Amino acid sequence: MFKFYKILFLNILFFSTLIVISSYSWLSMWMGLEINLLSILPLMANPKNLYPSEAAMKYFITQTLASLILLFSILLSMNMKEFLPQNSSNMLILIINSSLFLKAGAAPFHAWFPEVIEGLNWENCLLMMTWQKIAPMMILIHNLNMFFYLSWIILISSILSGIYGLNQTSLRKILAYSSINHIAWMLSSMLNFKLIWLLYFNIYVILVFNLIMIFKYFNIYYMNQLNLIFNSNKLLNFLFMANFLSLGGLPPFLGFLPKWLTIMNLTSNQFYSLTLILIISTLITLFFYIRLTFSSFLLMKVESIFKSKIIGNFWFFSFNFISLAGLLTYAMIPNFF
Amino acid sequence: MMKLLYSYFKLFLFFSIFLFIMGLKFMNKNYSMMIEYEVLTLNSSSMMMVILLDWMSLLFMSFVLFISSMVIYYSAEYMAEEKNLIRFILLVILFVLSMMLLIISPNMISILLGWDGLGLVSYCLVIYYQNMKSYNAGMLTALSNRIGDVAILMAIAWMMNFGSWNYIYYLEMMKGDSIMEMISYLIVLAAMTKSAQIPFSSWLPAAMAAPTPVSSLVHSSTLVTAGVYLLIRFNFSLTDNLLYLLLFVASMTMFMSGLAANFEYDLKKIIALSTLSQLGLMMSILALGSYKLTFFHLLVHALFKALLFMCAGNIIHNMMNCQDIRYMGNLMEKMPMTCTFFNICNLSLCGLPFLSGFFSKDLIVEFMSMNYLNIYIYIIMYISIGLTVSYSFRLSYYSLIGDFNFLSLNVVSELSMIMLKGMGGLILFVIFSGSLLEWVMFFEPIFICLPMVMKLMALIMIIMGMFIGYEVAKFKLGYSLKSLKFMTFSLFSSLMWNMPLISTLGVNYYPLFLGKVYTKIFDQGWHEYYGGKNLKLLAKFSQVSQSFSRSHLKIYFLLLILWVVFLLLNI
Repeated sequence: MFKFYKILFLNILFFSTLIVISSYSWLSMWMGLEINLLSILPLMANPKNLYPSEAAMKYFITQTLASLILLFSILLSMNMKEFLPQNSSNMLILIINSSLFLKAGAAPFHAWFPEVIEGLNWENCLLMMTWQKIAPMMILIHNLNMFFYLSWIILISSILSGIYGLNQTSLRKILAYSSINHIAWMLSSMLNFKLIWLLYFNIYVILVFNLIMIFKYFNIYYMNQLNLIFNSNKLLNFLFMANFLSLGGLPPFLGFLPKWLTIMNLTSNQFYSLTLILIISTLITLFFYIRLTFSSFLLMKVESIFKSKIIGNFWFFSFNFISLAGLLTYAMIPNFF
Repeated sequence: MMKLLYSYFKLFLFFSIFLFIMGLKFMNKNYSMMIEYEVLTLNSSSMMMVILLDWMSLLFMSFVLFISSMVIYYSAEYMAEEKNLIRFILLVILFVLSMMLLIISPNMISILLGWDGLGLVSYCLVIYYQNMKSYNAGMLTALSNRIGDVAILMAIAWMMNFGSWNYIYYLEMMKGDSIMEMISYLIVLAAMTKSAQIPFSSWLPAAMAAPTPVSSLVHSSTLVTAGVYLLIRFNFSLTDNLLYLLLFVASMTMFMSGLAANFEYDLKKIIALSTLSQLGLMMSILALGSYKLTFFHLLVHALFKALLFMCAGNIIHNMMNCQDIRYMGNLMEKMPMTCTFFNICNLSLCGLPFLSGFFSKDLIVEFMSMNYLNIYIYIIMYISIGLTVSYSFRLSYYSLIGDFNFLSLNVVSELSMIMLKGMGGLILFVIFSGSLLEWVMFFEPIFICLPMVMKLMALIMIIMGMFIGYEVAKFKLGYSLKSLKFMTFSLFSSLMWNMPLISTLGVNYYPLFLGKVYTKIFDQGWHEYYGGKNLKLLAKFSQVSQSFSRSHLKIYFLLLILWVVFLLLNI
């Protein structure tokens, strides 16, 4: 059965985010966020499975709470003398930011995020990890004036995501914690120069898309199921490994580019200790990426005779090409003209 | 097989004469020609293959080709019983080709082609006789030269910001720039490895494991002079401090190798050490500021050193591959022609007036005397000249005259006509090239004005050197062994100030020992303790904090609301 309502709600989801991005007033931003929330809930629903409903419920409560706090602080700010919170350095902006962090799932407010992700299938995970981040982060970009608070959020996100992710066996949770780590990077990238955030986000979407495509294709949800990939195909092994390295931000791959830009920008604006802690805590994330891909690092293995079909899709390979060789190509192409 | 050899001989001879005439024309008209081929432009730095033809490169090429053509002709007999003659010839051709590439390129990247080619092919040639000694010598040669390659690579990296690697455009323009200073230090390092200056000297005598024609080619005009030639090209950019450093190192090399040659008994090694000494002389005069004199001596030295090696090769060939000079003696009766050549070369090396070596060496020492420098340079220069004469005469007395010390059953005779012809091709140039080149190159004579004593100083040192060489060569069974009496000194001197030990044992044993210590203490010690072992704490912490994320959504929301309330209270 083809579910037409999903197409409808997906479109509403996209449009609601666009509403948030392009809105001029706080109230329409809030409205966009609400539409966003209400349109993703039907997408999560699956009558054959209990867990998506649970996840949808958790997500609903959390986001409602966040929207509530946001609306509350908007109303409060209207009551106050200075109407525009951008110009004030009071605690109000802190509350607004807290609610947005809650919506985005940055670290001290992250507890709902792995729980929700754990109940969803891969497509919805992709939506949660990528598209759902746009709206709150775009609002955050407009509200950045408490660097101290933001720095703490960044630090806690990066450190906690590493430590929590170390103990997981579920791939969805690992990706969720890595998403939290990337949120930390994205927040730090938007500290000084907004365009880097855009670049970071786009590249992150490509990287996560590649990985989730592999997981979705082989229907893998836990670490022990990874053997399905590892015994089937050497090319896929390599792609899997390289995508994870790219996600971890190792130099020849595309994932390095936004991290590079972020580090450059942070250090040139004297955020030295922040950069240091970010990099070091990302190493822990890199550690569990490598632990996942370790058996595909050991390139010698016995392939099974019954070869599973590779994803022979053109799009799959082109996305993989962007993710793996993107940086090199990007660096080389201008030289040919 | 022989056809290949002779065709290369003819080809090289033709090109040598052609390039010589071209060189004279270019020098006369003051032409230089530059051909650029752009390989690729990357981020506005262009990589090019550049060919520079001026009188210097043309003359040098013609000399290299002439010597190599004679060497190839010579090896038709010397290597006649060789099984893999084609491989040998092709290696020599490759070697000459690399040298050509090095000579004509004024670009760091294209010079690397010739530079690395020289290193690689010299390794192949040194290990040509496949035995353990050759392997060790080859490895020492290759690795010592590798340091220079790395220095050139680093210079390339430093040069990237200039926009291209055509160094000759930047030499004077960027002089004084810190990057250019760094580049020139690296280039001097590279040249010092290639020309076997002091910390890297040990490979040069070791490379004598190569066949003698190769030694003749390598140690006269190609491999070891590559460093000197590079510095001749780079000399405009060298700063004063660097020149002082180079002067010190080069003069020490000159002195050290002259001293070591006086203690050596291996025929080829003596000649190799004398090459080293002459290289030191070239480097010193370069550091004193006259690149033209360096080039002059480079060319002249190439001729007589090539012939010297070829004579030595002929002697060794006739002595059944024995190269210990204590077995020789009275060779002038057995092989008069070879000994004549040998003697002419030796005297030319000593700087006997009106042989070719005289013109360059005399000019060099007088140029040095004219300079305002310290007494150390003055003394060490003259002592080295005396030492050169001393070991040359010692060698002559040992091998050419005296008693015949070889085995009773011998066939030492001069029947090798091809080798003699090959040598005869060079002898005229050994005699005349000095005066010829001086008249051509120094159109305006160098002005020398010295007091009588200083002018005669060279002659005095030569005569003293002759005397010492004569005395050292007296070898009688009844004498008490002086080298045993002064054993530490003689060992120290004959081992080139322990340099072979330092550059083999010193770079192997101590780093390995240190590596063992570090493995034990750090890699399997503290790093393991603070890394692998105690990072387990992190995993433990992760396990403990897992309980925080176990469906405590109620508490989580409560905390959130408390946080908001807390913030609200602070508004």
